[in-house]
Amino acid sequence: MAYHDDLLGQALSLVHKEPRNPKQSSLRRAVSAAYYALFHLLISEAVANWSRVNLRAALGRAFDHNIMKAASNRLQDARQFPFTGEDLTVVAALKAVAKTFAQLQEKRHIADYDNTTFWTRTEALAQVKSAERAFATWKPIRNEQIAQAYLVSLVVKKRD
Amino acid sequence: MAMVPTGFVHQAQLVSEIAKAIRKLGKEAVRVNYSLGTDSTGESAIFFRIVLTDAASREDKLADVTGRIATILFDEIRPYENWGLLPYFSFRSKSEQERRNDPEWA
Repeated sequence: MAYHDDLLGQALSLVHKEPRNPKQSSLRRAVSAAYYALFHLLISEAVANWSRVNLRAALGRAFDHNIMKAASNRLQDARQFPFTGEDLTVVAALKAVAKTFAQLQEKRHIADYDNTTFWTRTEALAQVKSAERAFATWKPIRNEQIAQAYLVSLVVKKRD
Repeated sequence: MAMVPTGFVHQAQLVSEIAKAIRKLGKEAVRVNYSLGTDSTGESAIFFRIVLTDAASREDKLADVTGRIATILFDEIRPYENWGLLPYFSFRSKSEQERRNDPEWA
């Protein structure tokens, strides 16, 4: 199984680890794993376009969390990305994946660093399920032109 | 010069837009609270805290319900395009909130 699939599985298992009284450590690690699952899925999809297979992992190191988040947020702005003439179903799916990525990154930051935030199972599970859904949403659109353009935008810093 | 998001400047108008959007959420959303602030990267943001019915919080329904609610709030308010705010969504079940009784969610 690919690393991103393992991470998603780990997130689901952690969120259910203690059925009655979930530990904060389990819920917080679940949210973090869910983010990294989507992070690594998108990177693996982007670098899969690199024909030299042995260099793909090294290329993956070029991706930066902040640039990926900014690109994902920009996609939501219809003025910057009107997607004129594109299949509306594909556009909606792509926006959903990008939205989930930005959302999960923020939640991951809180889960990893903020000891003042208490997580309930529903809060953590909602994030994990959103990652699971993003995986499913991505699959049928992964070869669409706008999806591939999104992957490129994840590694390119926007210049003003 | 630093830009102040429209959402911070015209808060009364934003409050009215949010109230309108919340009315479209349906019975699965028991309560919606929100606050304005900045996210971990310093971007202006709006943080929604949504209490769901216990039935809507069931694992087999959760992804559908939270996806639908977030989409309604996103599409109706357009927080990023219209207000310069990145939206974030947190969900709790009614029974979880009753046990915790967090004022931010009440």
